[in-house]
Amino acid sequence: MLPANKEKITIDIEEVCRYLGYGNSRPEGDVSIMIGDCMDDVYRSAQLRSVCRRFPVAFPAEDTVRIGGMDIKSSTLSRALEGCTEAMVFGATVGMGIDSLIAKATVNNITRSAIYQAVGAAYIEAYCDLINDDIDTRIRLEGKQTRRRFSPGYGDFSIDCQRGLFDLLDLTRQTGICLTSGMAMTPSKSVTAIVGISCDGAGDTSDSSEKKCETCTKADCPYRSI
Amino acid sequence: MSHNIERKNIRSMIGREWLFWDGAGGTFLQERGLKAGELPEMWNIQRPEEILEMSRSYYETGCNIVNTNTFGANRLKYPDELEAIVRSAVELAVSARNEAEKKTGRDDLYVSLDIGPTGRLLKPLGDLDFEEAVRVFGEVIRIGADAGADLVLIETMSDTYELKAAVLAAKENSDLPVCATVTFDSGRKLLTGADVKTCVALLEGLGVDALGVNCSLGPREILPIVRELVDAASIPVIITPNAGMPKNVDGTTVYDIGPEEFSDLMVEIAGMGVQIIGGCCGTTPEHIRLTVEKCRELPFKPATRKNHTVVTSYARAVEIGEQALVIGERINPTGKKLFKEALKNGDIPYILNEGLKQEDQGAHILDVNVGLPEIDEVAMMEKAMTGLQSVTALPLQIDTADPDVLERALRFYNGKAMVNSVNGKEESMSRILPLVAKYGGVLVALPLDDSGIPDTAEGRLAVAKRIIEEAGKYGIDPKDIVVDGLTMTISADQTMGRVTLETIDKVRSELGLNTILGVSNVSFGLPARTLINGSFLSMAMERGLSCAIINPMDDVIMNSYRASLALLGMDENCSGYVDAYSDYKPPAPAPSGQSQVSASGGQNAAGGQSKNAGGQSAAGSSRETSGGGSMSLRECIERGLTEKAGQMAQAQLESRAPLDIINEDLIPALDSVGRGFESGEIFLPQLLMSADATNAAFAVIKKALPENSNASRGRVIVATVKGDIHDIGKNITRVLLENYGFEVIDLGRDVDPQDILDEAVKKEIKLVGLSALMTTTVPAMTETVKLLHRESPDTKVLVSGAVLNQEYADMMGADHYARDAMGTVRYAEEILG
Repeated sequence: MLPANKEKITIDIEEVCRYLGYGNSRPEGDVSIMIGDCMDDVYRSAQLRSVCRRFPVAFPAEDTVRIGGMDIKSSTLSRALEGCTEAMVFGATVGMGIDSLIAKATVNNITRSAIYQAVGAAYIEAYCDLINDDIDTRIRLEGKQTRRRFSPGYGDFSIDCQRGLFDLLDLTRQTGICLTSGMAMTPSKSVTAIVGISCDGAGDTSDSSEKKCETCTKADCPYRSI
Repeated sequence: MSHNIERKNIRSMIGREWLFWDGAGGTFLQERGLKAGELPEMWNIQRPEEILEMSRSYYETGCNIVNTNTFGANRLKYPDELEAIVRSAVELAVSARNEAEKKTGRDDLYVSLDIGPTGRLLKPLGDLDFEEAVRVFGEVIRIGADAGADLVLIETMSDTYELKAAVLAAKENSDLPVCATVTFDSGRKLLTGADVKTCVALLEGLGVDALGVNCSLGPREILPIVRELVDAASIPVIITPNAGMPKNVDGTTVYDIGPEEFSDLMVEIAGMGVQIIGGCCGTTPEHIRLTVEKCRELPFKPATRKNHTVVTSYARAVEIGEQALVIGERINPTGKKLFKEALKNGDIPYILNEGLKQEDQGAHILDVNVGLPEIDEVAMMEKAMTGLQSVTALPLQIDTADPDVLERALRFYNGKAMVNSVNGKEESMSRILPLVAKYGGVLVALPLDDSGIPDTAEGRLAVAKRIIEEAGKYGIDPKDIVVDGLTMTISADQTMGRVTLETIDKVRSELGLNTILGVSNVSFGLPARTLINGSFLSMAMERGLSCAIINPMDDVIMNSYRASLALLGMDENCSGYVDAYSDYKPPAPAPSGQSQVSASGGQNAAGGQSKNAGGQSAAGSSRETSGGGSMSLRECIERGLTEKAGQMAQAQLESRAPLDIINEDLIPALDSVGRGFESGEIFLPQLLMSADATNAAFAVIKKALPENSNASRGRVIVATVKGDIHDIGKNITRVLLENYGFEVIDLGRDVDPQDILDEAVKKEIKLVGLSALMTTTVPAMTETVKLLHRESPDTKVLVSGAVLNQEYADMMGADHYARDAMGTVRYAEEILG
């Protein structure tokens, strides 16, 4: 597993509020204090683990991407990686501590349980951003560009592909992250993602949530930002 | 044997002389073309010559033990070819070993059956059933042992529960020696939270032959872990680190320590009191060859017995004996109306809350007793323990009179439990001792036997000695026995307090063992019991008591506990005491003529109030900044002031009927908040704070409701569907439904459609709410809806969850789609009134 520095990660409070359904409003008073407390708990309980590997990318058929030896049928992913010759694949988790906080709060303080959930989601995103930045920096030094990261579940990139990504990364051995039979990851705040690498600078490199939402087909999602 | 080598019994080698394990398998195979993502175990069949070559190369380094290529071999990954894969792996390693024996004449070369994690996390955190995990491992071990492996290595484990399943499987399916190594991160924790001491206690309790750490870190970074392991373990220690820390070079993981440097560092590790060494990821035959060469002639130090009495959960080790510990006694139905009711109704959240409250008040271990004649105690113990272990890391004490309950509890407990109890009767010892010997545990010994309770300390000591001797026959170390001083009621015989204290003293001084007392029995039949209990506890602590089974919610007894710790030098700088009492307010003087102590002697009687000992309050919001001085109960709920809402409800009960408070204050307040949420004026956290406040008020009001009174508006089942382990939405919905007066049967997550139907039919349920987060589980939801409609046509089915919308709900034939928890409440009101 790759070492990571917790101090480098800042949880985006706007993301937390978005997950809590605040839209353009901001919490005040007790709620705002509780969010602060929960963020402290999440920071304390986090155990960061990740693994990242680089693979060649090919397009053996229409709407099919080959990463390493794995063929993925997905038009959204094909579009996202169009023009790429390689990709970084990574898996990351902020650990089981957040799941424990959520489970405990579910018994005696449901408000905190919802906030931990939101903070945890923002935290793993922030950790992925950090990994992504690191990848981006190194790839740019090679004179190449990276694409916005793409995870199973986006568009028609099926989450059934998790199994293959786990094998590519040897993820369970390297980090302890497991998959359930329904393809959910444990710890729950874990992510796998693909970052395309291209030589020509073409393609979309932005990482804003508007762009993330653009590729998603769930038009009535309460968290949708466009 | 064709080549006439009389191989030494490996059991005679482990811990008596150096043993060297091989290095990485994956690294070796990758150099020969194994691609990322390719399953390495397939090579046992497809490219056996490479696997044979790997084993040969490692035996040529001079190491003793070579792993089979079976790290990921299990039924979950290889449903069809498992037997062939495992058999072939063992046969290839055996063949390489036999060649090496012939070539070198060595009689100390072995084949180790390599067992890695299943790739699935066990319940309750994941979705793999514990017994299923035992079966999955057991199958591999049976095949491997049959094919000729000499020992089993369970390795790279990141979860104590899976580790326990694997060790049990190895012991139940073979007679081979079992070694187990885990993988720590740089924070010295397993993924699921266990530290070194926790792992050591668990593995020693399960009776493995050697334990240690593999993978994780490089030989330099692993040094602090080695030190901790050697200090904690009484059995041989295995260290097999990676070849340095992984570096991401051009996107590939590489390990940065070459053979020379690795082997030099292994010399250092070998000198720290380790007995078995080898390598993990990134190490090559050359790493191992140099390691063997440099370490072989170093002086060998066997493991030394450590006199630590340790109980653990999945994540925390608690050592008994350093300072007196508090064992919370509240999870026990004796004399508790609400607790009995919770047991009868299967109300697990109630039990969990009792646990969390005790943790917040400073309990170190929780006693768990769920025995009630009219319930299935085995099933309830399993549910209560699993529930508790998913919300608290405190170790548990299994408290039952039924050996069958104990056996099941010890088997599925995640950690090394405390066992309450065995006594000196033949029947008790012959049932209980084998269980503790198999599963591990710290055993409470009651010094009584067929002739009753001895009335002298000497008599009790004699029985205790007999129990210890008998336990020794099963291999139970005396350090894992804690002797009960047997608290007797002083109102019946005033010499009994002294006898108990003398027993504590003698067990400590003459047997050198730890002691325990259930304190409160001493005051039975007397007024102001808590005063006697507190003083008795102080006296017992002065005599060296190790564990006090008490009520941590009782301020008086906790005052005695903390004061005694400070007085006996068990509270460094008195900091625990200062933390608890810096804001101490003495009790107000009683008006003349009245006793200062209430006759019941209940909690808070004469103690003054300490601050919360254990951090945030259990049910309250962390800080209630908005005051709430002159607010009504309704306002407290609307503003989500949990603690205040509970207090206000208590005050209201003096002048109003419980149901009036519910109907006139609670429901209108909730409704106003609910409407605000629906119209987008207030947001989820505020809605939930009101829900928490309502819960606090309800908890108080419920106690005042006459027995068997039915305030329920109807029963609703909620469940997260099969395959889905995300339950936050379902949990929020449950709380809100309860707030609104519905009785909720929460079936949990990952629930089989048939189980939902069975419960709905059995309890004649009119409304079932199903939740799913993931697209992969929508088919399971559809199946559940269809099954319910077919077999229980009067039951309405509501669906909800992030991946759903009205269209999907219509497609699966659900009766209703709820966008959020309030939507579910509104539909429940419509259906059930």
